[in-house]
Amino acid sequence: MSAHTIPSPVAVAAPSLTTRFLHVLPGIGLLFGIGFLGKLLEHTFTQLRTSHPGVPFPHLEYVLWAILLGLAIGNSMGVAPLFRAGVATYELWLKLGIVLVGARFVLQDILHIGGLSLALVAVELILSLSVMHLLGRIFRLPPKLTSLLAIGSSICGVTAIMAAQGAIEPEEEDTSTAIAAILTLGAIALFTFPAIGHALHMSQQGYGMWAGLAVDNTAESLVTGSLYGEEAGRWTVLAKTARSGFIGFVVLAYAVYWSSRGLAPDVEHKGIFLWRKFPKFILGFLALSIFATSGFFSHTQLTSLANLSRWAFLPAFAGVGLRTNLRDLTGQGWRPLIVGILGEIFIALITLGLVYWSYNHGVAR
Amino acid sequence: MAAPQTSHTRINIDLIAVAIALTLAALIRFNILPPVSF
Repeated sequence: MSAHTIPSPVAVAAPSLTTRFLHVLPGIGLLFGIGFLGKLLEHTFTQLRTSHPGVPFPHLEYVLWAILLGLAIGNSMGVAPLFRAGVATYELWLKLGIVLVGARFVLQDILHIGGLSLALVAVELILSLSVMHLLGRIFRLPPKLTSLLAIGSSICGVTAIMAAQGAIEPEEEDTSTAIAAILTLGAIALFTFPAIGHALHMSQQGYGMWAGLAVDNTAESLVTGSLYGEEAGRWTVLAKTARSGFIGFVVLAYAVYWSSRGLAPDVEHKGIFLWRKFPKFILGFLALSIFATSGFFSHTQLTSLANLSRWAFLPAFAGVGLRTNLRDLTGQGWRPLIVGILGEIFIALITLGLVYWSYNHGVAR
Repeated sequence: MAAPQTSHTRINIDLIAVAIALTLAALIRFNILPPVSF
């Protein structure tokens, strides 16, 4: 082919599956490498504490090690282009882990605690959406940015914001600001929620429910729960999954609202819209729970599935650390962040109150 | 910051995760995969 020939379609064809796999391999290796190093550090320090009881070695779990290592790498040297595509797969590992955790729940738990979560989420939704809009008005944020912050903080973080983006057509800058604010607030929750949980002597289940109901982004929510304990992390998955189930309804409501004002496209087929926005991984989570409840797996097999979910969460935890940019804490303008912080404090208090109420009144068990 | 994703890519990731999880569950159920430890 001469240098002046227009490239044929073959020359710009989509990369093959093998090429794409090789493209993500270094980043996946980095995710697992960091996660495994976190596990190794936890194990090493546990042994050192036993052999040298007088030396104050750090007492951190692998979850925190993986996040700290990821934060250190991501915020010092940054993620090199070679690794970026693979690091972006952290969401796949997260979803895979959540689906596999389904095998650790009997269906009765899902119906009872998941049902309770749905009721609590409904209350939280109404209150948090109202408060976010009030705060947005007080701080004179653009209305669509307020909508995005309200959707992100009341439902499901980045996923909900991205789902709403196509439906309400905000300014691109509003989407970036809302995502940055939600991720920043998620990073703050990682370090504040476990401390609050310990100060209040919360049970694993109660804390897990709280983290699932209050922390927005699925990844940060799971990590916030897991930092308190593995049992708490499991309950966080259930509460967060129930909360994610609302995503389609809330986004639909906003889409209808903005289209009624002529500022977004009409929603023609609401049923199809709901199905498209519904997080499908919830179906896999339910399917594995049904299999587990029906006795399809032996006890040893259930243990293997639980361990597989831990392996899947390992790179997801590392990914949360790697993609958390501490510079975003200050680099996004103070008004959206203030609205987000005030809204999140309100949501954290409301959900904490709801969890306490449901446990004190025997609704949860 | 997370890379922007559309609802379309989200659905794909969800379905891929479900497919991998169910495959792994089947492999374990029929003892094709040995017991997994952590």
